[in-house]
This record gives sequence, C-alpha cells and structure tokens, in this order.
Amino acid sequence: MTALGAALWIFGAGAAATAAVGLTRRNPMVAVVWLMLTFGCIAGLAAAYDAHLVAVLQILVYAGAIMSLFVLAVFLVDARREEMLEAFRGGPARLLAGVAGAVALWRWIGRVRAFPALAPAPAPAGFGSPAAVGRTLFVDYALPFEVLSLLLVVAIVGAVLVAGRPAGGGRGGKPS
Amino acid sequence: MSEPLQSIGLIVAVALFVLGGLAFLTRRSALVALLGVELMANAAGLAFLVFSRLSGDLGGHVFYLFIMAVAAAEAAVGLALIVAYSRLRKTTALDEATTLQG
Repeated sequence: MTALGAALWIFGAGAAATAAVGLTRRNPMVAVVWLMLTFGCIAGLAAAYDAHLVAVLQILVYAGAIMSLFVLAVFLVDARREEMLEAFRGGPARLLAGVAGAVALWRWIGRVRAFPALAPAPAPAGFGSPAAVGRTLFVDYALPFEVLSLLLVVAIVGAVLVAGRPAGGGRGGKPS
Repeated sequence: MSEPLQSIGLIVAVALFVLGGLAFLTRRSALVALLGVELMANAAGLAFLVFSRLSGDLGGHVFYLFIMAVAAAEAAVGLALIVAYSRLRKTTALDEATTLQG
C-alpha cells in the first residue's frame, strides 16, 4: 500500500468514525468537538486529493470559524438543559431512516466499486495551489464570486436581525 | 492497493452524507441537527474534490469554496434562529416546536 493509500484509509475511516461518535452524543458541546475532528480528517482527505488550498481553508473556515460559532451558540442555549433531552425523536421513523440510510450506503458502495478504475493522471504541476485555484476563481467564476459576497452580507444582516430581538419583545425593538 | 484511488473518497463522502442526514432527521436537539446539515454540505464538497482530481478541472475546488461560504451563511442564520427560539421557549427540542402546526 502506498503512502497515499494509507493516508486515504486513515483519514477516511477517521472522518466516518468521528462523525458517527459525534452525532450520537447527548451534550452538544461534545458533539461539536467531535465534529471538529471530522472536519480535520476531511481536510486530510482534501490534501490527499491534491487540494492543498482547500485543505488549509477547510481547517480555517470549517473547523475554525464555523465550529467556534457553534460553540458560542451552545453557550447561549444552555448546554446543561440540552443534555437532559432525550437524544433522538420519532421511534419507528428513526428505525426506518436508519434502514434506508444503510441500504443507500450499501448500494452506493457497490456502485462505486463497480466503477471502472480510472487511473487518474498524475496531477499537473501546481494543481490545487493558491495561484491556480485563484486564477480559476477570479477569471472563470468572477460573477458567482461577487454574487456570493452579496449572499453573505444578507446572511449577516438577517442573523443580527433575528438574534438581536429582545426576548418576548415586539417588532423593531432595540437589539439587546 | 486493490481499490482505485477515487473509491475511498466517494465512499467516505456518501457515508458522511448519510450520517449527517440521519442526524438531521432523528436528533431532537436543533443544534446537533444543524451540525448534521453542515456535515452533509461538507460531504458533497468532498465528492467535488474527488471528481476534480479525476478530471483535472479546478472548477471543483472553486465550487468547494462556494459550498464553504454558503455553509457559513447557513450556520450564521440557523444559529441565530436557534438562539432566538431558545430564548423564547427555553429549549431547542425540535419536536416541541409545534406552534405552526394546525
């Protein structure tokens, strides 16, 4: 087994295992920390597939920024009360969802393994580097990039409006 | 190694997608359900990366960055909604959010 194959196996198994453990924890803070590990493993997979810039951004944005946002939200909603909750809802529906998920996964794995083994050419020099990705982003995808910045502004304004309203207050109250 | 290079990435991607979907459908805590949605988005991005590597086209990487930005916006709005709701009801249990049911 090559070093690349070993890295793929380790990070892939790590991502699936940490996600399975994290998403079944009762305490949301514990779940967030496990999911940080999952996103770290996905960054490792990204690096193994020659997506170097994306791997670094995955750590910075997903495991860093988005997960710290979740940590702050857990602070605000009182994790101790969350922990008293029954972890899952919906009895028979839960079983059905589990069976459907397992069948989907099984069929997908069979289909992927039947896929003809495309031996990918060795990545061209600079594949996935900041320069190459940046050129694609700012030349070929310049308009979607700008539209996306609008989306982010709208999301920030919406988040401040929704969460800033005082408890039990009416409309247009001063943000507390 | 007998497995072709792309198999592991695609299998992990769909495994993470299924896990995230199950968490979203079955967890009571709105916070963990939202975590499941984030994981689903990330799994889709991983599939983009694998196919980008196979085809040698960097568009997959660009789409991964877009997915990341959309996930950040989604997390900001979703967490704001959860925080506002928990202030109102003192809980984030999804099956107790029945105000809009007829």
